[in-house]
Amino acid sequence: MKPKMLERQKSGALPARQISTIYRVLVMAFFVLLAVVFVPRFASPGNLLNLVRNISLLCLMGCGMALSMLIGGLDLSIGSVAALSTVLGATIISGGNIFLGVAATLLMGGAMGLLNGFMIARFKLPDFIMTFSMMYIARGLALTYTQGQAIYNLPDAFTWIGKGSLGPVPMPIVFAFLALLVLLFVLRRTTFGRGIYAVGSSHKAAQYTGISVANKQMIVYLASGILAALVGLVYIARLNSANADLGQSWPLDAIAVCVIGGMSFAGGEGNILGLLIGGTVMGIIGNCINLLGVPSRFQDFCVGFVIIVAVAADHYGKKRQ
Amino acid sequence: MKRFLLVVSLLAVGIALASAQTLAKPAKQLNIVLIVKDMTNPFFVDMKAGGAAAAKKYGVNFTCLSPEKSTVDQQIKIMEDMIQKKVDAIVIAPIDSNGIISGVERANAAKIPVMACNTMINGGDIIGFAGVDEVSSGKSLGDYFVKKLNGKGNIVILEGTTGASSAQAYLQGVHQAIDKYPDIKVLASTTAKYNREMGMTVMEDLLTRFPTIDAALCMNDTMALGAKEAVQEAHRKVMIGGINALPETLEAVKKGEIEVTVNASGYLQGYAATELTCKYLLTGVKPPAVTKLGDPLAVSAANLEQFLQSR
Amino acid sequence: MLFVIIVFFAVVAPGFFSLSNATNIIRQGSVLALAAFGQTFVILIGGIDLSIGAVMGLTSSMSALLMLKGFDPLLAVLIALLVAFVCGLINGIVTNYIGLDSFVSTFGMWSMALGVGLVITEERTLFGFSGAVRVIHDGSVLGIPVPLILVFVIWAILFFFLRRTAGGLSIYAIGGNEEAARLSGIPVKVRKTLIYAFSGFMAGLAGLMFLARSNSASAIDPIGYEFDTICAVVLGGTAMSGGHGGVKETLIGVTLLATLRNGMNVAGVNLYLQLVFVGVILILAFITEKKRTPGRAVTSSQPVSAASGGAL
Repeated sequence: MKPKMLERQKSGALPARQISTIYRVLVMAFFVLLAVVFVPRFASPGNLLNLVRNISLLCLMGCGMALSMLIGGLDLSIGSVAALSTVLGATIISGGNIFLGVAATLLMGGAMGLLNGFMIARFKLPDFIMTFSMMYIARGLALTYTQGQAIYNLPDAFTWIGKGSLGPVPMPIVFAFLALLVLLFVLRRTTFGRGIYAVGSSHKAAQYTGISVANKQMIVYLASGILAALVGLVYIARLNSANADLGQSWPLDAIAVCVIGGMSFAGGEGNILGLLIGGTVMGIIGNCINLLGVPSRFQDFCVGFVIIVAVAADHYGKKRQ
Repeated sequence: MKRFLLVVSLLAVGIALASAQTLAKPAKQLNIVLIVKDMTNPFFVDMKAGGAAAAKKYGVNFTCLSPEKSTVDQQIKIMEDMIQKKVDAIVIAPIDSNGIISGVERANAAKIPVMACNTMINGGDIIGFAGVDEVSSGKSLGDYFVKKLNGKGNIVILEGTTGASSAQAYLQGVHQAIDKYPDIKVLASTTAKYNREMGMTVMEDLLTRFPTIDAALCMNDTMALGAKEAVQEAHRKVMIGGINALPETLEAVKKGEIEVTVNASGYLQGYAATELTCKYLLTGVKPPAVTKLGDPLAVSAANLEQFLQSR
Repeated sequence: MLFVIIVFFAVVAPGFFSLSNATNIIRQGSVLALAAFGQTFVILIGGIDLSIGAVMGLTSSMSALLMLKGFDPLLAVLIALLVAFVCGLINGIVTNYIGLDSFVSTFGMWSMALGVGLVITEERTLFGFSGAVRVIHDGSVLGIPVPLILVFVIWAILFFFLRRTAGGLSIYAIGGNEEAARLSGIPVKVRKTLIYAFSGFMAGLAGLMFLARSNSASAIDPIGYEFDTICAVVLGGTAMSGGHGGVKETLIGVTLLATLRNGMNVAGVNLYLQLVFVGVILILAFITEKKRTPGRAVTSSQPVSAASGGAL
C-alpha cells in the first residue's frame, strides 16, 4: 500500500491529536443523534443492549486488525482463521471437554497467525498476499474438515461465553472491554507498544533505533490470529453451532471499523478511542438499516456511503490543522 | 537450489494429490459430472451424495464440482472445463435458469448431454429436468403457515442473497401461497444473505421493531437457525420456518425450537437426475422432459417421526 | 512457476494439454486480463481499486438493460462504458482531490455501483437481449479467438504506452517517488485521477466481456473480481507499493491464475481442496517470482509520518 509521502508537519503533537479526536467523537455523536431522533425504537433498552453487544463484537474484530494496520500491514485471514479454529475446537467442546476445546481453538488461531507473521517477516511476503492466501487455505481446510456440515448442540457451560453475562453485563461486552483495555495498556504504556507505532511509521527508522521489525510483525499477526479465534468462540457460542462458513464478512468489517476510527493503511496512526468510535459507527449503521427497514438492494449502498462520509469528515478534521 | 527444491516439492504434492483423486480411470468408463450451486450448503452436499449413489449403482464414474463463488458464470466456466475433460454427461443445478444457457449451448456443440436438476433451464438442448424447484419449496413453506395461522397473522420474511435467482424463486413461491390471504401481513421482508450470523442479527432487530411477530419465514435453514437463537435470547414466542430440512433443523423441530422446515430433498434430486442420466448414457432412452419429484414436504413436529422413518 | 503448473496439470489431467483447452483458458482469462490491466495502473501508482467487480456488474447490467429497451447494441455498449469511466473518475476525484485513501474511496464506489446495479436490474439477472455482444467472446478471426486478439492488442498498446512514452514513464515516476515527480513538473493529481478513470473504463470492458461470456447480466456476479485482479497483478511481479512492474507482468499473473483454476477443474480436484491449493500456489508462486528478480523493494519503506501519536 502506498505510504503517505509527506505529512504536513504539525507543530506540537498533543493539541493536534486532541482536535482530531474531537472531530471523530463529534461525527459519532452526530450519528447517534440522528439515530435517536429518526429511527423508531432505536433508544429502547432492548435495542441499546443489542447494539452495545454488536459494537463489542465489532470492536473485538477490530482489535486484531488494528494491530496489523498499525504496523502498516493488513490481516485478511481473520474470518477464515476463526472458522477453521472454531470448527476444530467445537468438535472437542461438543465432546464435553470445554477447556481443552477453548484452549485448542486459541492455539490454532495463534498458530495460523504466527504462520502469517513468519512468512511476512522472514520471506518478506506482502501482508496482502500472505493473509489473502491464508484466508483461502484456512477456509478450504475448514470446509474439508466439516464437509459443509455444522457442529451443533454445544454444551450450555460453553455457550455461556457468548450468551451469558457477568452480572448485568453480557459476555461479549466483557470480552471487548477487557481486550480494549489490554490493547490500550500495551500500546500506550509498554515499550512494545511504542515500538509498534515506530515500525508503523517507518520500518527503516525503527530498525535504526534497534527495534526488530520482524519480531513485531510476528507478534502482531500472532495476536491477530488469537483474537480472531477468540471472536470466533464468542460467535459460535452465540450461534450455538460452528461451521466453516463463519466470518466471511469479517475482514472488510474490521477494516471499516479501523478506518472509520482513523487508522491509515500506511501505519503508525490510530488509537483505541478511534477503534471504539469505528465500532460504534459501524454498529449503529447496521442497526439503523435494519430498524428502518431499508430495502435489501440499498443496504450495501448505505453502508458504503456512510463509511465515505465518516472517513471524509475525519479527514477534513485532520486537514484543518 | 531453493527453486529446484520448491519445484520438486510441488510435483510431489501434485503426485500425492493425484493418487488421492483416483484419476487413473480404466478405459471406456463413463464419466458424469454433477455441478451444484454452492459448496457450503449442506443441501448440495446431500445432492452430491444422491448423485454419487446413483452413479455407483450404474457403475458410472462420478465427480461433483461447485463454483467457489456462487455465480452462473463460474458454473459456465466449470462446464467449459468439463467439456475439455470430455466427460460423457453433465448434470447441473443451474444458479440461473437463463444465464446458464450459453454454457448449455457450448456443451451441445461438443455433443455432451446436459440434464437439469433442481432448477429448470430455459433454453439450449437439455435431455430433461428432474427435481423440485425453489418456487415449490417456497410455496410449501407459505402454505404451511397459512394453515397454521388460519389465514391471519403477522409475519416477517428472511430472504436469500440479494440478486441471487434462488432468492427470487423462493420468495415468489412464498407469495404464491400468502398473497391470497390479505389478513396475513408481511411486516418486513429483508435479506439475511443465507447466512446464520446475519439471520441472527436481522431477527434481533426485527424483534425490536415489531412487538408482535407470529411467524418468521426463512428462505433457508441456516438463516432459520440463526433466527431461532435470536428469538430464544429475546424470550419471545415466534414460530420459525426454514427450508432444506437439515439434521440440525430437524432436531430443533423435535425440541420445538423451530416450527417447520421444508424438505426439498437434495439427496433425492441428485439421485433422480443422475439416475436418469446414467440410464440415458447406457440405454439411449431419453428421460421425460420434466420429472417432478412431488411437492416438497413441510416437516413439522406433527409428521417428524414419519418423515425420519421414511428416509 | 507457470511452466511448472502447466507441466503438472499436463501430467495429472487428461484433456488439459490440448489446443481446445488452451483456447478455453484464453477465453476464460480474457475477462480477468482486461480488468487486471486497469488494476495494474492503479497499483503502479501505489493505490488499489476495489470497485472493479461492482463496476463490471453495473456496466454489464446497464448495457443489457439498454439493449432490452431497444437501444442499438453499439450505443448501449458505449453508454455503459461511459458510465464505467465516470465511476473510475469519481474514484480518482475522491482519492486525489478529497484525499481519502484509495481503499476507502474505491470501497465506497463498490457499494454504490453495486447498489445502482441492483436497483436497475431489480435484483434479477437480465436475459434475452441482443446477442450482438457475444461476438467479442465467441468469435474468431482466422481461427484466432477474438478475446485473444482484443487482449493482445490492448496489452500491446498499454505496454508501449507504459514503457516508451513520457506519459507512461511518468506513471512509474509517480509510483516511485510522488514528491519528486511533483517537483519535476508532472501534474500528479491529474494523472492519478485519470488512472482511476482508466481503471473504471477497463472494468467496463471486462464487464462487457463478462456479458458476452454468459449472455446474461447480473449486478452481483462479477463481485469478487477485484481480488482476483489484485492477485494477478501482484503475482505477476508488480509491487503493491508502486513504481515497479507493468502489464507484461500482469499478463503472466493472469495466465497463471486462469491456468491454475482451469487445471484444477479438469483434474477433478475436490472443490474444498481447490481453495487450499490456490492459497498455497499463490504463496509459492510469489516466493519463486521474487527470487527471480532480486533487488526489488517488496516491503514498502515508509517515511516517518509526523502524525504518529501514541495511543489514547
